[in-house]
Parts: sequence; C-alpha cells; structure tokens
Amino acid sequence: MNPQFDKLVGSRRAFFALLLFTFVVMPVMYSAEMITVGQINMIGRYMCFAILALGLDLLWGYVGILSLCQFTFFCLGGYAMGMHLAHHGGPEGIIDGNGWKIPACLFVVYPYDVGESSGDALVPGFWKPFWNLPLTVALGLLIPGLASFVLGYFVFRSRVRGVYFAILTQAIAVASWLVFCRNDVKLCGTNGLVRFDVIAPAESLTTFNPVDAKDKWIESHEGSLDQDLNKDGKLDQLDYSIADVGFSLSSDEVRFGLYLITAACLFGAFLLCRWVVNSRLGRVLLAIRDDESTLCFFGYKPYVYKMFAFSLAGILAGLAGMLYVPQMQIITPSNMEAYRSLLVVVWVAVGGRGTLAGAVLGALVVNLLYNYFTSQHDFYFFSWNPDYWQILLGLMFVLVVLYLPNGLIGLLDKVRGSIGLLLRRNRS
Amino acid sequence: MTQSLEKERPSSGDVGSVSYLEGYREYLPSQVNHEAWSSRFVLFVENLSVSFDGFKAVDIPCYGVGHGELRVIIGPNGAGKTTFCDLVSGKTRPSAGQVFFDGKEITTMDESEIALRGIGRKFQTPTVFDSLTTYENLLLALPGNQGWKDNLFRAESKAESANIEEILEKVSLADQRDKLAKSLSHGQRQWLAISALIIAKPKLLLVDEPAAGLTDSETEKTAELLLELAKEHTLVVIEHDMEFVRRLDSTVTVLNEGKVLAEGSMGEMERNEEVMEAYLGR
Amino acid sequence: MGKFFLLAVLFSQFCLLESQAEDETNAKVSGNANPVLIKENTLLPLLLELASEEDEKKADIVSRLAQTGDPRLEEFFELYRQGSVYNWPDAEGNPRIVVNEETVMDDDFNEFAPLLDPLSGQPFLVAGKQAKPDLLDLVDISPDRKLRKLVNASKFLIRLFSPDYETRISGVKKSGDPPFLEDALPTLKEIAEDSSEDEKIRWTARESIALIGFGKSSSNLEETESRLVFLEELGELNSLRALARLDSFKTDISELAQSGNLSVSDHDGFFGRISKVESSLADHRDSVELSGNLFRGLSYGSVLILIALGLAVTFGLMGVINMAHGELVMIGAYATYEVQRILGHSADNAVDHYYLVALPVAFLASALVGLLMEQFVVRHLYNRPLESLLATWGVGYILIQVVRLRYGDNIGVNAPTWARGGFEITQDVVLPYARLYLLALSATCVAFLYFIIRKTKMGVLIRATMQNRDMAQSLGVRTRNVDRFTFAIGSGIAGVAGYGWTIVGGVTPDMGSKLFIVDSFLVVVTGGVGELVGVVCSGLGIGVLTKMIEPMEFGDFTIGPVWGKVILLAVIVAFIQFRPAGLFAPKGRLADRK
Repeated sequence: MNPQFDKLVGSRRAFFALLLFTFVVMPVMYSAEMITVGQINMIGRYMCFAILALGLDLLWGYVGILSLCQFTFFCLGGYAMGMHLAHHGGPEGIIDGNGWKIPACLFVVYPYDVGESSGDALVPGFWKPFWNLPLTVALGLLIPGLASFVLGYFVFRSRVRGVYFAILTQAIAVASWLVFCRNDVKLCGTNGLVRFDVIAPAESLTTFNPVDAKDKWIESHEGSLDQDLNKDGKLDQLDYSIADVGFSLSSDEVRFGLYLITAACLFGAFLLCRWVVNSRLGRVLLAIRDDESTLCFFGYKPYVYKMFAFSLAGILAGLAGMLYVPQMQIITPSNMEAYRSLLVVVWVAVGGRGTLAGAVLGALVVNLLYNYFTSQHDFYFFSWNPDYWQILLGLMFVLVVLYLPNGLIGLLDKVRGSIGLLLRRNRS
Repeated sequence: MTQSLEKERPSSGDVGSVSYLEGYREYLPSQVNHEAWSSRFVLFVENLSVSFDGFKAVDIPCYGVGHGELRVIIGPNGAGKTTFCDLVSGKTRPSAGQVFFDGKEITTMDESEIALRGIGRKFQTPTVFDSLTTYENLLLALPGNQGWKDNLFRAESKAESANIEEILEKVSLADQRDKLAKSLSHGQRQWLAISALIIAKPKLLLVDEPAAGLTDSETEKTAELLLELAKEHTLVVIEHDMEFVRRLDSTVTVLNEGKVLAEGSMGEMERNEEVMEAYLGR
Repeated sequence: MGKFFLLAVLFSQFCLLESQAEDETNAKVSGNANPVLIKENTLLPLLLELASEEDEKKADIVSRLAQTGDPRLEEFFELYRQGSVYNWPDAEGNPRIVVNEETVMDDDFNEFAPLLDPLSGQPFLVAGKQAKPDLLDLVDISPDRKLRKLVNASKFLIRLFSPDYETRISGVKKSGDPPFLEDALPTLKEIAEDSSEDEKIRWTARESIALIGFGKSSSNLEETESRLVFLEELGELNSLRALARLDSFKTDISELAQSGNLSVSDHDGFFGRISKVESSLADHRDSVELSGNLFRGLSYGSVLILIALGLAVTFGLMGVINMAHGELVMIGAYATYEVQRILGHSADNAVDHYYLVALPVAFLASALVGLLMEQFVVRHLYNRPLESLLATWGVGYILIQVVRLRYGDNIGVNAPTWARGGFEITQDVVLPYARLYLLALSATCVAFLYFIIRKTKMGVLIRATMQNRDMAQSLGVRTRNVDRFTFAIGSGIAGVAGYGWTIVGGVTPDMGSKLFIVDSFLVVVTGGVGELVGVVCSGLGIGVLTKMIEPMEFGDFTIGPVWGKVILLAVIVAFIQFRPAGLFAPKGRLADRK
C-alpha cells in the first residue's frame, strides 16, 4: 500500500500538510473567529474552481488538448443544481396546473405564448427531474459528461486537433452562452437561476415531485394544522414551501459544511486524477501528447483515449459547478461567457500545467489575487483602482507564458533545487 | 549464419532483374484466388498508385514480398520509398489500387487496424515517446494492450514485464530503464524504436533507414539485429547506405520515380545499367 | 512596395474627392445650394398677405406658399395652424409677420411676447435686440377651421414641391398611406406626368395615386370594381405596399357579399383576380427578400473576410494564433473615431473627408500596435500555436481594458453622410452605400494582399520563410524583418476592418472579443489554413449561409441570429468531419507540419 500511496499523492509531506490545514487548521481558525464565514465560503468557491482546473490540466497538461469550453460544462452542472435549488427555493411563486410550484426565478420571466397569462405558466418538463437531489447529482455529472462524450466522438474521430479544436470549443462556448441567454429556452434568461433557500430537504431525497413531497411532509407531521403556516385553512404546497425543511443556504453552519464537502471532493478529485495519470492509461495520454501518429502505429486508437479524458474533464467540471452554485447562490448565463473558459487556462498555466497540483495552486492563487485586486486599495504612493485588475491579469498571463512555462510549481521546484544545492554546498 | 539464410531466401532465379514483373503476374489477386497469392506472398500490392497534386509519387502495377523474406528497397531521392511504406502501413490512402496483407485486403484500413493486424513500422527518425521512460515506451508497445479499460485498471503481468526486461538487455538499454526517452542518444533511440517494434511481434516489419545517423559500430550492431529478426519475421528495409545493404546480403528492389525499376541481388543491381543511370542521372 | 502603397492611397483620395465635387455640383443643379437667396424675394410678400382680412385670399396664399416648396414653410405652417403666428404692425401700420410661442410675465403681471422670425426661427430683432412687445400689441391672425384643414394639408403638400429629392420622394410616398389626402391627387398626377421629374418619384406618384384609389371604401359593385382596377394597376407596378393591404380588401368584399350587396359570382370573380395579383406581388416580394438576404450575406461575409484575412496571414504564414486580432480591429475603429473627433465631424457638422483620412490612419494604428505586440510577445512564440493563443489573449485583455479606461464603454461614431442611403438596383432592392463600400474595401484588401504575396519580392520572401525558415535564413533572408512586415500587414488589415465596421455597427472596447474573434477563426478553420482563396470562399460562404438561414421561418418560429449561429456551428462541425483541414487544405508533406 505504501509505495502505491506515495506514487498516488506525490509528495507525502505536502499532501498531509494540506489535508491537515484544510480539515483541521481552517476549522479551528473559524471557530476561534480568526476568519469569517464569508472567507470560508470564498475558499469553498475557489476550491470548486480548483476541481474544474484539475479537469483542464488532465486534458491540456497530459493529453495536450486545449479545451476552451470547460466552463460551459461547469455551468451545465451548475444549472442542474440551480434548478434543484430553485424548485426548493423561496416561498414566492404560484402552483401551476400540474401541482408543481413554479420557481420564483422562472415565474418572473416566463415566456408566455401569445394569449397566455400568468395562470397558464407551467413548470417545463425538463425541469422536473431536478426535484430529487440524488437524481440531480447524477444528472449534473451525466449531462456534461455525455455532452463532452458526444462532442469528443465527432471531433476526435475526424482528427481535429490542436488549435482547431481550441477554436471549435470556444465557438461552442459562445453558442451555448447565446442559447442560455434566451428566455424561450425556459432557463430564466439573463436573470439566471436565483432565489434559493434551502438545500437537501428530506423530501427531496426520497420523492420525485412536489405533490409526493408535500404528502410525505404532511404525514411526518401527522397532518397537524399547526403546519398551516400561511393560515389559509389547508395544508398544501404553499405551506410546505414556507416550512422549515432542509438546510438553509444562508446559515453559517451550512456554508461551513459546504466548504468541507467541497474540500473533500477536491481531495477526491485530485486522487482520482493522480490515479488515472499514474496508470498505464496515463502513459498512453502522455504518448498521445508526444506523438499521436506513432501511437496509431502501435495499434492504439487515440480518439478513444481523448474521449475518455474529455469526458472525465467534463464530469469534473459538472461536479465543480454543482458544488459552486449552493455556495454562490446564483447562476446566470454570464458565467458562460467565452472568456471564462479562457480564465481556467490562465489558472492552470499560472500554477503549472501537467502537474495536477499546479492546477489547484493556480486556481486558488489567481482567484485570491482577483479577490484582492478587484477592490479599491490605497497604497502609500499609488491608488489601486479595481479596473486595473484586467490589465494585471493580462500581464500575468503574458509573462507566465513567456517566462514561466512551468508555472508556479516549476518555479517552486527550481527554488527548491537551488536551495538544496546551496545546502549541499554549505555542508561540504 | 549465411548458410541458413541461403535456405530461406528465394533464389535470384525466380525474380530476375528484367523479368521481375513476370514473376508476379501469375499471382495477381484480381486474377487468382487468394490462397494462391497469399501462400506465396505475405505482402502484395496491385496497381497501387497515389498522386499528390497531380504528381504520381508511386505507381506500381504489382509487387510482392514473400513469407519470411528480408527485402531491401533502395532508390534515389524522391523515388517513392517512404511513400510506399506510407501506403502499406495505412498512413496515406492510395489514389488507386489495392494492398493485400496476410490473406486480407487492407487498402482502406487505418493505421491502428493495420498495426493490430501485424504490420509494424519504424520511421526514418526514431519515434519514441519523450515524456515516457524507456521501460514505459516498451510497455505501450506490448501487444494486446490497446484497450483503454486494460490500461486503466490493469498493470502489466509478470511475464510481460520480464519480456520487456529481456529485450532491453538485448539492445543494451537495460541501464537506461528508468530514464526518460528524451535523454537517450540518437543511437539508443533508434534501438528503442526497433525494440518497440520487436516487442509488438508483428508479422511484417517496415524499417525505414535503420542505419541513419549511426556510428560504424552501431551500424554493425543494427545489421546483426535485423538479420536476427529476419529469422522469425518478414522484413522490408529501406536504405541508402550501400555498405549496409551489402551487409544484409538479400534481394534488393530498386525504385525510381515511383516505379519498380529492377530487382535482384545487390551485385546484379550494381551491374544494371538502368539502375546506374537512375542514380547518377542522365 | 511602399511607393506603390502611397500611390494607391493618393489615387483613391483623388477619386473620392472628384466624386464629392460631383455631388456638390449635382446638388446645385437640383437647387439644393441656396434656397434662401433664391426664394427670399417671393416668400416675404406672400407671408405679409396673410395679414389680410379676406379668407379666400388667405387660402390662395397658403396654396401658393405650398407650391414654393420651401422646407422652412413646413414648420411655419404648423405654427400658423397652432395660432402662434401674429401680425405685429409697425409704426406706419405696415404688417409684419412674426411668431410667438410662449409669453413671459413681468412683476406687474403684464404679458410680453418674445418674438421669433417666422422663417428662420431665430429671434426677431429690432435695433439689434429681440423684440418683446406687449401681447396686446399683437394682432391675432390665426386661421379658422376650414383654413386650418388646408394648412394641415399644405404642410404636407409642401413636401411634394420641395427641391430636395429626399423630401419630395418621402412626401409622395406618404400620400399613398392613410389618412389619404384627396387634395394631393392633382399634384400627384402632375408629378406622375412630369417628364422632367425623376423616374423613381414618378413611379411612387403613380403608386400613391393608385393606393389612394384602392384605399377608398366601397359599398357596391361599381366602387369595388374601381378599387380592383386600381389594385390591378398596383400589381403591374409591383407595389409591395399594396400586398400588405390586400387582406383588408378581401375582408371588405366578403362582408359586402354577406350583406348582400355583392353577388356570389361577382365575389368569386373578384377573388380570382385578386389572387392573381396577390401571387405576382408575393413573387416579387420573395425575390426582393432573397436578393436582400443574399446581399446581406455577402456584406457580412465581406466583413468576416476582412477580419479573417489578417488572421490567415498570421496563422497560416507564421503559425501564430493571434487572439488579440479582434482587439486590433477594435483599435482601427477607435482610430477612426479619433480622426472623426479631431476633424470635428459630427451629426451637425459634416466633415466627410474624415473618412478618407481615417483609412490610412486606422491601418497604421493597428499595424503599429501589431508591431509592438510582435516585438515583445509574439516573436518568442512562432510555431507554438497554443502558447501564442494564450499569450496574445492576455495582450488582448490588456488592450481592451486600456481602451476602456481611456474611452469608457460607449462612444458614438458618426458615419459620413454619403454612407446613408443606398443604391436601388432593381425595384425595392436597395443596396446600402455603406455596405457596398465595405464590399469594395474587402475586395481591395484581398487584391492588395494577393498582390503583395504573389507579385512582389517581399511576397516571395514571405512564402519562403513560411515554408522553410532555416533554409531562407541561410540564403540570407532577414527573417526577422519578414516576420515584422507580415505581422504588421495582418494587423493593419484588421485595423481597416475596424474602420469599415464603424459605418455599419457600434463600437465598444470589447467588440473584438464579443463580435468577431470566434467567427473569424471559424472562417480560417473552414477555409484551410494559410490559403487566401480559402478564406475568401469560406468567408463568403459562411456569411451568405448565416444570412440566408436567419430569416427562415418554420410556422411561428423564426430562426433568428442566435439559433442561426448554433446551426452554423453544427454545420461547421459536420463539415470538419469530412475535411478536417479545411476547404483548401495543404496536402502531402506540408500537411504534417502542424
């Protein structure tokens, strides 16, 4: 187990140190009130980005495919979770003809046909599976995975590679954004999904539609009219939606809990990627990056492996999106704009591509910098305007590509190497 | 060693320098049943041609390589030798004609399928995977492991591991086992490429300029390696180095301007006027 | 090479100046030059007559005023109708026609009327100051109801007499739209028969006459018949306005048939004739739409080509993906804006030659930025397409933000005056001048690039460096200079694209990355890298395809720009299945290069 484990985590010391820090030090600091729940939430969100970056690093650092639509897959997962949260969201809204409560965010921008009024609005069919939490999670992983699988099949089989692939994915990102912005696809248009309230009420785990959920809930309270919270004399959907079920997204404990879950998923995703990369499949991925045509001559079909990596990256992106939305409490099409997928590349490049740990590091570092530099700061001699962040970002990117091709991890390695050299010289 | 080779080599009487075409005509796949030609030849092409932008790079009415032969293809630059290999191995689609291998037509298959059927190819520049170690390069070349599930879940078996170590010994790369391929010397990369080919156990090996860029001792070693391979595989070797060709001492085909010009032993080719003209120009 | 370029610029300047001069002469001929001087003597006495007491005389004056066609009278008529026009007699009792819109009150609650000149709207001056007599000194000469109707009509009729072509034709056109003005009929008939009048106006007059006749309500057979005759005439004129009004005519006839005023056979006969007219009009409309879409597609395609050309140059010839290409386009647009600002062109003050000056300025501005980019960033990244993609994207980001900080998010670029309006090749098919100019610009750039690459020495050097850099270097080619030159040309053309864009679209700091970059890359990818012919074909193809798909309707659902883009993307993905390296892909050994 030991040598296997070592191979899996790379540096044992670093891994355990980080594990300790995330699951022990941070909670301690939080309970000692050295850091606020807002900061915990921020780290949680940035860890979601780290998971996304892992997927891209697998694709770009190991297989050599640059995909510029990873954020789109992230948003597919995010929208899945968003629809789930909208179902169980704020008490406003009306019950439609089928007994489903229309999510508030959909209701305000419902695309009525000519002649329809607010009474005719119906919860669209494709929203319905997202009532149930396990199904939502499954779909949030499956949909981006399937999308990338199918896309990969068509594109990789025809041997589109390198730059062409990058451009194609960028075009797909733009097209998806355009589609999601429209009201008539019934995804709340440019307002996005919002007005979330709770996550994981018990009924969402066991039922598939609100009528059953309401019945279960009434049963669990033995039909007592105390639960008639809107005092309209009957126990129905509206009471259920006002009732205190599930975990409130704005409570501190829940946000901390989400942080812990995200951290666990991040470590899990990291180990998964390391396992893939260390296996023989990982060797094949590297071989594809080095010399794809020679690999063909050994009887391999590179497109199968590319599809595997692309789908895995898509699934990781979907996972990241699903973890992100409860912590961010909103998702809109602006998250799908083309430049976001390019940002993921920045994170991986800054951290160090092809190292997995670099992806995580880059995602965290760049986003923390973003957080810091998009507020006004007054230094002694120079006033920093948040507008300057874009320039800094662009500059960072250019410099990393030109002078730090191995990113921060590469820099750290060099530094460690020179320190080691120095120490050895001093010793002798 | 020369003795055993004599036994297997088809005698030059069968394929004379002028009438080589006659030697093939009775085996044209379009005119005989495939048992006839496949029992005689492991590789056969009929009416094979390919054009690039109007220029015919290869134009061969019929050509075959027998089972267990060591055939050397030579010719001046641009004769179409590498293109011929491309056509056989599936890298390029022919404009017309057919390629038959081991009893089946392989004209329309892609490289992976052809490779799985048993044609291995070594390129002019040694193609190794730089980011992988020497051991891992051979690991990928192991036959039967091309499926992704295998590669994800299974490590190599003890037998396969031993096989790799054995071959590394043979080509004196055992001490480079865990070094990244990009740190090997040119000669070592050539051998690594060849050993990757061997481990895949192909029926037919296409070897493109194995002696390119090697020192004299390395060249000698390579020739020995090829001759030993020829005992158990069919080889088609493309070369420029005439010393090397003479060392291999086997049937030689001369290509010129995409067509087969002549065929026979090295000595016969050296005395053939047309061949001389092709090399030296008119 | 530089000399040729300079010559080309000078030559085009010369041509454009000549045509501008021509325009001015034409304007003079149509009487546009100086209406004030021509008509001053005749207008004023007429105006003064309005102060007279007799209503008939006033009606006559109004008609005569209308016939002068002076555009200032339109405003005057409105004021007159409202009752803002007064007579302010001078000391000798001679009438003076003045305008007062609002009164002012002093502390003693006396009302004073600041006066305006009736024709110019400027303050009416007496001894150098605006006159402000007591309201009681003004004589009310506002028209009675009957006269007001005439004035209202005249306000409109004036257009028919205007010396300005645009006003005339809009007036003639409008007379055919409800509410119909019977009074206009005689004038329209005159215009239709006036052989010295412009063809288009005569046609529009005939159309409007027929529309008026067609638009009358009918209550019996004869009236309906006469309407149908007018309709048939409109059919022959290919009037699209009539097509829109057909349905209400049909409803009218059906109602008449139901109420018994029309026999069934007449009703059917009418419908038969109507459907003939309808189908011919519908055919005309379809062909107009088709040509319209085709042209829009060509125009859009020409924009794509302009942008993609620069990309193809840098990508195909140098293996560099320039994600900042869209920003270079943007810089060209902003350079045009600067030229406009410096030369003072605005909506009120037309300095049209700014547009001419802006062309080389935009080219040079983008070329300069491109050179700087090349020197500091791109140079290190040749033949590393993925790295250059990322680094240039960073540069693009910086450029966007710098421009945004300097100019804000929105600026207004005013097009030169000739860019409005269009050229009517066949009836109802109008090709806007702006888009024609863009087409010409694209064609010129393609030709320019082709010329450089194929026919000049520099072109040979470029091609040599692209095919085998080391070999070219060892032959003494200064590849650094070739690289710089190529990159500058590619960037300059992008700047020209931005310059062209300003007359058809909005200019914002992120227009490059939002509007163009993805589309233009798709053009390069589809066309085959490094092939100019490919870029042209795929640019036009994608442009036409997009614009033909967008207006297609399936029942209630129009495809529109968003789904059009999605469909286009799907088509391209499918296309790539069959030709992964584009329409004109390099074959053989070259194919392995990237």
